[in-house]
Amino acid sequence: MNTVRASAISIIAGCCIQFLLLKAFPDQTILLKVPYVVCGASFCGMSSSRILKNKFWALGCGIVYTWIFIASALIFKGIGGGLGAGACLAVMMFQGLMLLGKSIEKFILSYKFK
Amino acid sequence: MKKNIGLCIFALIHLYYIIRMVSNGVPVFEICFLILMVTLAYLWGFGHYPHNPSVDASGIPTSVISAAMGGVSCYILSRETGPILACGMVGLLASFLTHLFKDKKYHELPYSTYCGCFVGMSAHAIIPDAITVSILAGFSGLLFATTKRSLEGVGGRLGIISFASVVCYLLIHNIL
Repeated sequence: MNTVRASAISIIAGCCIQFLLLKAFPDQTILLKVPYVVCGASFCGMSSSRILKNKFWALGCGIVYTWIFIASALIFKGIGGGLGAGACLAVMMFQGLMLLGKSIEKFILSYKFK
Repeated sequence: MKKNIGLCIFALIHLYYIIRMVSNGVPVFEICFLILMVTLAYLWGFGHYPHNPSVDASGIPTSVISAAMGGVSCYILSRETGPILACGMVGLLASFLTHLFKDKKYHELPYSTYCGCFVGMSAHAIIPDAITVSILAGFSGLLFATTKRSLEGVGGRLGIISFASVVCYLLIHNIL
């Protein structure tokens, strides 16, 4: 399956989940945001395995994206590509976090063996 | 630096995104942390991402046309279904394009269509007509074809390209 199909299917699944949840809890207006978060997070998941090495990294990246979505949802409301730009920022931030983690790990290991 | 021109464009768009976040009142500590991590990733990226040695001009017309078609179809569909579901449906259909056009030069067709699709997700109050959407989506297709190897493999790359074209339109629209 190519990444476009995977992303499109997860977006449609997100819309179905929102529909079902709204049937069960019609008063919860926060559920209206579900497809937007799923859509943006699916763009994060379109990263290659070189960037997101396993499922847990993808999960972590999705969590980082949620923070960016909360911080910027109202600013880019209605602007096409806003979700994707946020997703790209989340992937870059997550990559930075992983690089920092790797550097700290290397430093600790080298300190131990000294 | 010349080789990484695509990466510089993406960095500028990210900078704009972060500045808008700052102006919206996101806490300074969080923004500093975000900037630090993203800068780290970019510094690593300048050395590790594939460069953009030459642009394959033969792929530009197909990218522009498919992006424009994806954008317009998503824009029209979004009136009925909302932008997210419209994007999902057009993306799903676009993913099967490689089965229709099996030649290797059409391999990127689903990506360019999906890229144009994001422009079509814009609100009708922001982009009022389908002709403007087709032009902006076509422009995003052009950007997609010319910055093909920059940030390769990073999720959201298509989104940032379409975001750039919509933001350019809004800036020009505000100036005029």
